[in-house]
Amino acid sequence: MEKTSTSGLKPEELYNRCDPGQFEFETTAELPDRTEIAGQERAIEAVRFGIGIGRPGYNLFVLGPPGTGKHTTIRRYLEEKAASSPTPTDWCYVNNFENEQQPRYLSLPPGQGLILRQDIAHLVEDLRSAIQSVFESESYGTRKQAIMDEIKERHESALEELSRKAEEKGITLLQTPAGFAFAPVRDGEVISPDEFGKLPKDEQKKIEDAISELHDQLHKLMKQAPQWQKEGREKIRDLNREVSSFAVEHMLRDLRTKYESLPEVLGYLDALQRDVIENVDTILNPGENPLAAALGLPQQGLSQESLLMRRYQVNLLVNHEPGGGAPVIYEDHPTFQNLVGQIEYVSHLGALMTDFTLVRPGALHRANGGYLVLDAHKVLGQPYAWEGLKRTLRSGEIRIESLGQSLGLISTVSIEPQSIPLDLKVVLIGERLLYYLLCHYDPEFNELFKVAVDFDEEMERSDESQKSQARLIGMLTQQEGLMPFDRHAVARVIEHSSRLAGDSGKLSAQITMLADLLRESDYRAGQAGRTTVSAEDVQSAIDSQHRRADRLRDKLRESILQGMIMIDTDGARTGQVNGLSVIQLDKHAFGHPSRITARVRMGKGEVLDIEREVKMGGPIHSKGVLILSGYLGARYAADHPLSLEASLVFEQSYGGVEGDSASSAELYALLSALAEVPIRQSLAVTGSVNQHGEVQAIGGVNEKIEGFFDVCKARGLTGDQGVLIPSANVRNLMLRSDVVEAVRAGKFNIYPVKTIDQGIEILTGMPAGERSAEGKFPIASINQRVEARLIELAEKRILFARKDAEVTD
Amino acid sequence: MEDQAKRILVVMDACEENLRTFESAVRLAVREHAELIGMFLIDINLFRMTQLPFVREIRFPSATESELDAQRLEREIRVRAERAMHDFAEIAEQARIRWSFRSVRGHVPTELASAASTVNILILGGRALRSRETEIRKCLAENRSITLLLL
Repeated sequence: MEKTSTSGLKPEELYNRCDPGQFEFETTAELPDRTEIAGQERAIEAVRFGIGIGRPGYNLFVLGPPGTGKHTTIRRYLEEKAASSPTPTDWCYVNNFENEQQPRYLSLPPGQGLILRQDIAHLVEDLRSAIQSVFESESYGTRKQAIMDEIKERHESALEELSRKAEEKGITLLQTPAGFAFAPVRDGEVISPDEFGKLPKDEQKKIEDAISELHDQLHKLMKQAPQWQKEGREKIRDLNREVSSFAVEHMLRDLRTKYESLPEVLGYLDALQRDVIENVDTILNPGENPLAAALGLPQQGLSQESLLMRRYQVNLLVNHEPGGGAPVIYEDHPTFQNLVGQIEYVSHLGALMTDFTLVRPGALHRANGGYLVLDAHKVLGQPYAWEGLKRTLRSGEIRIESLGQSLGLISTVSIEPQSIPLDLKVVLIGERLLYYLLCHYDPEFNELFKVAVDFDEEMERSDESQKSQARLIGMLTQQEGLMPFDRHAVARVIEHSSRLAGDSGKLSAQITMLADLLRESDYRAGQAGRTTVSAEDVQSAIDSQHRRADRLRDKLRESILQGMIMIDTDGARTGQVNGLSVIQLDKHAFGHPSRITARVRMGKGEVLDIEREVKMGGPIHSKGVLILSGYLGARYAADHPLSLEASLVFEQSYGGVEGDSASSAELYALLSALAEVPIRQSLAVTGSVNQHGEVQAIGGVNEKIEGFFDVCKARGLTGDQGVLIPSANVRNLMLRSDVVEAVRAGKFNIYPVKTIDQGIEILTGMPAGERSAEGKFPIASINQRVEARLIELAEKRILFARKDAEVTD
Repeated sequence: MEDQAKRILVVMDACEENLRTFESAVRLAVREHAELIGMFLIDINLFRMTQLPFVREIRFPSATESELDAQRLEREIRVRAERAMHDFAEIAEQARIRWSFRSVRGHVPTELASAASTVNILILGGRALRSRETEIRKCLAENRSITLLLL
């Protein structure tokens, strides 16, 4: 077989080594425990902008793949900014004595909420005893008794007067158990019916008339009695007000002085004083329960003490340390209630009851004046949480409402706490897809989340970025409490980062995967009894990761080696080429070869994609195959009909094919079939192709090369084996060391190709051939043979067409 | 004198609330180390009155008129007597004093004079009894050693 002029890549082109010598440390223990996340300049600029701009709607959506340090970076920036920001106010809910169904809020300087709550608690503790002592004082008792006696005397003297009038007429006023009655008397005794009957008729009538008249007067007197009692009660109430006002005023004097700079608190203290005075009877009399009365509940179960505590309690919703900066809250479980707060209920004698003390804050309350970080996916996954969050941001105030009530699921007495003004930044963290879906489908989203913070999954690899990643490794090892990594281990981790990025010129920004490797390397070093993690440990951890995930790859390779899946790695076959594909399982990807075959015959110029015909080929794959027709027609059959019918197939493919990375391989198979020139089976091919025959870059080049290498290695490396890759993919090469070493030893080759002509020459060992000035391909070149075959097919087809026409005539 | 002050009679009108009178009497009995005798006095005139067809009762607090029925009156007085005895006993027991209670029906001054002959202090509670002070004092005139308290 003729040797091609195209040479393979040198070993140093297959792997971009990280030089440990560039690092100025011996181990990561010398590195700082905090560093910037490298490679996310765009995102960080967006974060700074989003945090800095204090306008409504400039909330942040942090998008990017998982594991790129979104949470860490955001929280760090937020915490830094928050630490230098003013501490927001404390928030309390207190009883609205004028309308208990609508509790009102108090906004206090940081730290004052807790103090006020304690002050009021102490006040309430002292209040009852103070009022009691005033009401138990002798002076109060005397004054109250005087009022009561006055009423009693008024009543009794009226009765006495009436009794005296009756006696003047020989009639006595007798009190019965249930009222009064008048009867005629003689010598102190009520006269008997007989005696009465013996009286003259006019005497009898006189007595009866007198009694009737006395009845009328008694009626009037009894009707006046309630009015006297009412007057008495009012006098006692006035007295109570006067006495309690004195007691409460005395107790509140110090608090008024203490909170003189807070008008809201002073207003509340005034309201509290009025309420205490109005309800002094309730405070002193445990039998009455205004809360239960307001809720229509039986007057049982709630002790007076607890009732008093509740009525005048300060429900401290949010408390801040003075000088503690703005809050940064991450809500891990963003349900509707956990976001906007909730009103709890307690069961009391079979009924649900609530009051302002049962109002519970949500994450929005806690983050008010600062920052709230949420996982977008979690928010969207919780019923009504997304709607609740948007409504709150739109309205600029937090309104706590019972979800059950707003949905009509619960029907019970509830409260409507006064809405609290909202001033915060919400930071949503999510995947890119989620961001673009929200942009597209939720018209409010763009209005509320104007700042997109886009985290990249990779960064340019440079000396500076390598050093930056080394610092990141140092930070992670220290934060995780891992053993220090020596500089060689760090270099190996960085090299692996390039491999994860799938590009020797880039580094992965997937911090999670990096952190996993660090932990596992630490474990390996520990097993080996080392106190510092070495490059060997890192390699061991990488190998271990692969081994754990390699079950399917091993099965496939086993099938190939057993001949169950037919892959040739030597010899030459016409119309047959080794294609390469990648299987991605979760985070692990591996490549493996697939046999691609092509058959040609005379036809209408169609290239038949068998995968597509049986619906096992995806649209991108079909597109790649259709491009082949364009290439063939334009290059070889510009002046005559393309009278070809070709069929292409991925042999033994049972799971479907997608992507166009095999389109160059399919074209090689097709050209081989047309030219009837065998292709070297020791080679495998990857790369897509355009209509001009240029080979284009593909993904997963490292996995594909390694997949074919493993099969060849298992069968024995011959030095003739290798892989054709697009030239554009050379920068992506970060191959395994055994592949690099095999290339170094001349046992395996990686051929970069830019065009189909280059590739077909390597595969067939024959020149592709270029058209001469006369438009002819050189004799015995591949292209000349292909063109000749297509012309032959076209002529035959014309011949057949004529014969058909003659038969028809 | 000290021995004579050992018996206190507290008289309760059958038709009035007597709790405060009881309490005062018990306090006095405690202070004087005296035996306390409760007397629930039912004025016989109430029953005589029921026989007169034209007598009407004006009832509390509605001021409605109704016939004065002897049976109903009997029932209502019995209820009051039971309650009075219960209250009296409870207060007296709490004060840990020697006590007794009896219910008497009759002519008020006469019954008072009779009952007062064996006691040193006589306590009268209620408006009705107070209003008959002159009449009662006349009946007690022979008993010069007795102390009369009107509450």
